[in-house]
Formats: sequence, structure tokens, C-alpha cells
Amino acid sequence: MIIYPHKQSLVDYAKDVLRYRQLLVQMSKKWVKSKYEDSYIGLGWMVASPVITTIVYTFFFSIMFDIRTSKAGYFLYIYSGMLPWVFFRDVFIETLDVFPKESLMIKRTNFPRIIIPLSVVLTKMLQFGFGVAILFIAAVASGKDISAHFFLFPILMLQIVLIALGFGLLFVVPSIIYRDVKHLIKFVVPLGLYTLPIFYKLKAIPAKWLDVYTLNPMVSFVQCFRAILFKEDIPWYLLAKGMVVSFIVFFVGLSIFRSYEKRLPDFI
Amino acid sequence: MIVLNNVSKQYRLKGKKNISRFFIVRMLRDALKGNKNDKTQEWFWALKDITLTINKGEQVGLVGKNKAGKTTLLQLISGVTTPTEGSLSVDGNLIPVFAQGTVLTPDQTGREYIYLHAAALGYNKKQVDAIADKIIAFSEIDNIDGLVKFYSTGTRTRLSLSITLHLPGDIYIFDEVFYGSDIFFKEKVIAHFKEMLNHPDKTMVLVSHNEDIIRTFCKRLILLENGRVVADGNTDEILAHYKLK
Repeated sequence: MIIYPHKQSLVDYAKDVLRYRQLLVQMSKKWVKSKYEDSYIGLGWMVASPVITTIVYTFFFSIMFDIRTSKAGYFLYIYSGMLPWVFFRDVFIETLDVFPKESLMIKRTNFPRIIIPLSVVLTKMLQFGFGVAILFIAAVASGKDISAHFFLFPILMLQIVLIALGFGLLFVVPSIIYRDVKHLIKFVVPLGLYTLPIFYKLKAIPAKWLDVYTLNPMVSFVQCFRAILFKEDIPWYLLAKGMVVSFIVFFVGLSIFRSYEKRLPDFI
Repeated sequence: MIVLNNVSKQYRLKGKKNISRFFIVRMLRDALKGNKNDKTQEWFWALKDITLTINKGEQVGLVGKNKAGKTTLLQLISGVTTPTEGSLSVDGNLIPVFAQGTVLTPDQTGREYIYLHAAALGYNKKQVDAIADKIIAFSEIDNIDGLVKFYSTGTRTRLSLSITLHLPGDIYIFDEVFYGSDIFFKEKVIAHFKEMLNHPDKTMVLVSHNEDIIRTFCKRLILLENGRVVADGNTDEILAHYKLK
């Protein structure tokens, strides 16, 4: 049934999204297939891509900053930061890219449009999952113990999905209406890599700026993820702060997206 | 049943963008206030003050010159987009078929596409499993496991029409459905339409520039002109009126 004007509660919206879960699965399959089907390595690129990038960064930064830890240790350190960063960057940027690509679906069928970025999230979660598996194997192989706080991993996953999807939803409508926004974001977002404690440690940030710096929910994710992986103390305060900011970003993004969702065909 | 009350639809004119104000602040403000359109841009009315009721079981045609607002009206009824003003309600499971020849997304095989297209209309895998073979047989596509992007326009039409005709719905929305299809497939679809519409509860809204198709299926015809309903009534009378224009 279609009724307009119609105020749909968040619960009803979630039910509606759940009703279209088959579409979510079909679209995710389509992304994976169209991206990797015709290549020799296939799904192997999902793992190879962040590993190769990390190897390059490891050599570059270990030479540039005269890192005293072993190359393998530094590789693990960078890789554990690169994985979540690549997930965030890809979900954010591809959410902006995917709507114009699916313009025919948007102009001809009536389904909750959030299914489109959710299919991007599902695809990237698969990539992230492969990456984490490699990371854990490498960590155990190099003699590291995994923290007993491993149960926090699903909570961290929720956090990173909320951040990445939240930013995507926040900027997708402006980027469709004003194409310049997308170009600007594609230029600015990669620079975000250097704002995170990936190549350096959190203690490198001056104490007076730490409260502001840790408002970035990706900082919280990277620190907690490493704490689990390298059996360090879990920064509970950072985790809580990151979760609060992630929920705020997600719900603001979702509200803006929902208020324009049904009018997307008018802009694409 | 489909009910439209004073429905109007406004679109932004392409290329008339004003980014002089901070867009996020403006969008937040508009979202909170419920403002429909940005007053700083240029807009035009694609539909204006449409009030009509289409009862359950009716087969209604829409005619009018290009840019009369026919497709926009179908998009509103289908819930693809929303009215700028007015209210509408559609009671029943609706299946829209817009401008054939182009499929929703061409990057998978014909068989995979059946599942994706049906999923986009809210049908689950189990429901599609039950009709997939019928769809493939009806479409008469030999290489159903070939990629849709390599299908001809006619084959794409066959595929998407076969899918939508086999999905169980209450209201069917057809916009120039025979684009690219050959006469044999067209006759087959017409026969299927007739059988389907024998059911007293099936409603159909059809846009076509083909007089024969309209006469075959529609007892009621609505004439649109510049986004407004200018005539609504018996098909023969409205067609005669339309031809005089």
C-alpha cells in the first residue's frame, strides 16, 4: 500500500528494509561478481589490495621514521589500522558513487533506497572479514596472544558500520544534487588516513588536543581493535565515546537521507 | 483502488543550481521544517491539481502528447517518487513496468536478473523459485544464463515483461510496454493480459501511443495536457476528442 503524505516510524522503516532483504543479498552478490568475476585472482584481490598497500607503507614509513620495532611487527601495526580505514573509506565513497549507477532501479521501482548503500556495506564487510582473518593468522603466527576481549569485536563492527554508513548517508543527497560535493569528498577523504593513529601512536598527539582528537570515532575503533589484537588494556572510555559519536553521525545521516529518499529520482 | 487528491508534481530545471549557500545547513533546515523545494532554484510543474479515482478492477488508459505528464503520474502512483502537493493512496500490491527495452541493471545473467527484479518489487526467493521456470519458458530466451548486457533490446523487453506478468499483483502499471518487441511476442503478451484481466479484481493503468492496444484493454481513458487532466471518460469519446487536437 502506498499512502502520501505518510509519516513512517523508524521501526516500520526497519521492517520495510527487512522485507527487501532478498534485494540486499542479490545486489551484494552482483557487486562482488561484477568487480571480481573477470579477473584471474578473483576474490583474492579483496585481500591482496590492502596487504600490498600496507607493505608499501611499512617500507616507506620504517625507512622515513627509523622505526625500531621489527618490520613484521610494524607491518601488523599498520595493517591493523589500514583494514578499518579501507573499510570506512570504501563504504563512504562507494555510497556516493552507487546511486547514479543504480538510477534505473531508483526511477522504476519502489523499495527502501537504503538497501543500495547497505549492499555496499555487506560487500565491504566480506572484504574486511577476509582481511581480519589474515591479520589474526599473522598475529598468532608472529607469537602474539589474542585478547580475551575478543567478544567486543561485533560491537566494534557495529561501530564502524555506523560511522561509514552514517557519513555516506549524510553526504549522498548533497553529492547527487551538487556533483562538486562528490569530487571534493573523493579528494578530501583519502587525507583522513593521516589523521588517524595508523602510522604513529596515540601518545604522539599533544595531551591538550586529545579530547578533541578522539572525537573522531575512527580513532576509537583503531585503538580498541589493536587493544584486542595485541592484548592491551581496552580503552573503555574511548570505546564509549566512539560509540556515542557513531550513533549521532548515523542517525543524523539517516534522518537527512530519509527526508529526501523518496525524491531521489527527481535529482538523479 | 487508487485515489489522487489535488496532486501536483514539481521538478527542478536542469543546470539551474545555486550553491551559494551552505547546502548542509539548508538541507538540515528544510528536512526539519518539511520544506519541499529550494526557493532559490528554478522549477516547473510536471503535473498540476490532479484529482481522480481508479476503482478496483478498472482498466484505465492514459493518453497525451509527449511531456503531458503521463510517466510522472505513473511514477507517483507507483510510489517511485512523491507529490510536491496533494495526497494519494494506493490500496493493493502494485507491479510497475516502465519503458521497456532497458532493464533495471544489466550486469548479471538472465536467470539472476529474474531474482533481482522480483526482489526489487518485494518478492522473496521462495516466491520466485515457484515461478522462475514459467518466466523463462514464457520469455523464450535461449541463453538465459548469458549476461543481460549482451541481450538485444527486444530480448530485454521479453525478459522484464515475462517477469512482471508472472508476479502476483493487484495493480499493474504499464508504460509503453511493447518497446522493441516483435509481433509474435506482442500477441502472446496481449493474450496473457486478456487472461489476467478476466479476474475482476485486477486493476491496470496503461500508457500507450498505440490506439489498438488502448481500445483492446481500456474502457476508460484519461487525457492529459500540460500536466493537467483535460478529459476523462469513455475510451471512444476521449480518443475522438484527442485526435481532433
